[in-house]
Amino acid sequence: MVKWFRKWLPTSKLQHWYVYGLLSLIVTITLLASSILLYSYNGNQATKQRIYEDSLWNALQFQLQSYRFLNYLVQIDKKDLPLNGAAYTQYDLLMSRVDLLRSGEVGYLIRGLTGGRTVRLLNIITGELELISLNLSKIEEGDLSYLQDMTTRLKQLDNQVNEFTILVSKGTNLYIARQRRALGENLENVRILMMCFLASLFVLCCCIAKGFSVFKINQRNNKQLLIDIQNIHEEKAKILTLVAQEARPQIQALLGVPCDNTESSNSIKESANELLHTINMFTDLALIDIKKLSLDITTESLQKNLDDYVQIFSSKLQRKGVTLVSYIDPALPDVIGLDFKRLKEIILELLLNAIKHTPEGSISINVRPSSLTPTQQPLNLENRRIGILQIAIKDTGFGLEHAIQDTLRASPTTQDNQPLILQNNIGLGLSLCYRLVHLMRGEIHFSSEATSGTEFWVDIPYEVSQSSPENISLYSCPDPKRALIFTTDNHLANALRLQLSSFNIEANRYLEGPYYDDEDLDLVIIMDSNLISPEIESNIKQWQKNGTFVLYDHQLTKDVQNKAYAAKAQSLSFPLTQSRLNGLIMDAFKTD
Amino acid sequence: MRFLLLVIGILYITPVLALSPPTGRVLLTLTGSITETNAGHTAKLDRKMLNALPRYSITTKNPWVHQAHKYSGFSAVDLLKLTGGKGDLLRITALNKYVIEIPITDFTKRGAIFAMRKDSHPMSVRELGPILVMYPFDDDPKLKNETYYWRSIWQISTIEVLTSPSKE
Repeated sequence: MVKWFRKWLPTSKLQHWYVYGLLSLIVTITLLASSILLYSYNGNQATKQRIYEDSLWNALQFQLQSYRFLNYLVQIDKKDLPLNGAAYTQYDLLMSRVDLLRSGEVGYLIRGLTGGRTVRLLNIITGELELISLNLSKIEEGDLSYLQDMTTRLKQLDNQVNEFTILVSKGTNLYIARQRRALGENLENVRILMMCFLASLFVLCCCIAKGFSVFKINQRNNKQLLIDIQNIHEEKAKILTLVAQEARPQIQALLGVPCDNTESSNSIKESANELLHTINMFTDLALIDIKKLSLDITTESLQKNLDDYVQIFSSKLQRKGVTLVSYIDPALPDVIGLDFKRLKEIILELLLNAIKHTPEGSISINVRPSSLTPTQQPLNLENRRIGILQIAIKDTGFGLEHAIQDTLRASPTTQDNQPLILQNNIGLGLSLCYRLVHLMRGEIHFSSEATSGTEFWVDIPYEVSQSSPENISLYSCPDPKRALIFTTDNHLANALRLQLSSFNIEANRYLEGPYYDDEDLDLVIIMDSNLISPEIESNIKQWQKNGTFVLYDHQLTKDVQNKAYAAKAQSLSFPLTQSRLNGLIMDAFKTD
Repeated sequence: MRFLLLVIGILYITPVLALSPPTGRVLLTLTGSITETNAGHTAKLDRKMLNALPRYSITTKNPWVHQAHKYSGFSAVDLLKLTGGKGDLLRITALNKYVIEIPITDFTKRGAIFAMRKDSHPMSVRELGPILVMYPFDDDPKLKNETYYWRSIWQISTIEVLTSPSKE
């Protein structure tokens, strides 16, 4: 709840004004609703007023009807006889008025008027009229001697009828006066509310105007800040270019020192290379910041480039004892149009990251067609066929640190937010890698676990070469071959299995047990000498007699050289590219 | 010649009496634009004649009584059919001389009736009978206003059939 509240708290001056504006709007709406409620209340009062008016009307009608009845009785003459119920009808007309004053909404109102005096009067009048009615039957029968008494009693009742009518009239007038006063007060209140409403509207308008003004100022400031930032970036790029220009000759001189193949000389060259690479990375990042890094598309062989890239880390990998296997899906064309300089930087950075996080084990590079479809022209390649390739680099290391993972996952994939990556200490290499992928309009994703290592997937668009669209050519064994890989590294086994499958060789990883005695194998690859028991060794010897080609990891040379099968076996050095393996397989299995 | 003029005069003065005369006490007298008469230019109707009209009923509350009652009676449409009425406006007079004008559309569109019975019993003059105009107030809230309350006339004695000025 607190987090939610903090999230909604205004964080800038502009937002403050928006919040004030919103509050004003709420206040105005509340006022408007109050006004409507007030009007609604007056509507109910109007209904009550109608009942008062009905009461007065009925009281007056009652008084009128009493005079009519009296008049009727006075005017009865012997020649009017028989009356045929006319007297009863006149009496009923009068009594129906009395009933109306007693029942319904009118009756309820009259009972509450003048402390009950009206009800008492009505009771007296009703009682007297009931007594008078006793003589009506005599008159209807033609006996007019009762008329005098009836008219006298009716005249005497006139005072009560008159008082009753006056009381109802007085009550009604009082109510109407009170209502008029209340209506006047309500009107005044509504007027005040309307003034508040107008004031709120004015405040709202002021807030909007002020907000708009602040927005314009901020926009202007932001524009100036962007220009300043751009200038700073340009200055930075100039300084870095200068540093690169000054440092490059010295580094080139170090690289040009004749190599005596000693560890120290190799280490110096490798360090010089890395230093040059770091300077280049800084320069590239600076150029991206000022949006001056343009892509240079060249049409080259994907396989040759990848083979060159993996060889760069050959000595580093050997020192760490980490094996690297690369594979290119034969479905991909060999010659493609791409900025290979940037592709190299991306792959080298991801490989460096993998080597850094893998103390032992293996790394694989798998280049295959991407499942993504190109939705836009990714490069400046109008009217050319575009494909997307996916580079998957997987290691068996201890995984990325959680902080780095969180930063990479939280970082948006748009170029505008990429400086954030650099600020979050994910490293210069990964920062450049992400920015280059986005510059090339590609995508980059990863998964990382402490137990199974890290895998990065990079999807990058490329131009399909119109001149030489042939796929990667590899030797394929005419008959299906079978291979057995001795390793405890399942990831490495899978990588090798994938490589071998492109040569029509079905490979399996060795599992402990007496399952291989009668196997008819064409190829054996030994990556772990601990798995070679005396029984297995004799099996290998037997397989060699039957023509099985045996390969072993170059790093196992010392362990293997005394073994019986070593004489006919061949060493396998890493990084193992598909083209290198292609040569070995061709030598071993090509018949002509 | 004198005889001929006498015959023409009698024919001019005496209207065609197509409606049968009332046999009981007259409850309602119709005048105005009607063709079926039984007493000069008027139609006098007793309870028997009015009871013979198609019967409609409404159960509703109204401002003059505490609770809902079932009112039944006839429609103005059937009354006009009976008397050959051609108007679209009824000027109704009560026994106490109260007068109100009601358009026929109140009976055709608003569901009003001339009620003669309350809870299946004939209404006396004291009970606002023998005839009163009743609207279905509970069925249509739009009827709950002064216009229709004032049109709910009771103790009806005379109806004059008229044509509204706008249609003339």
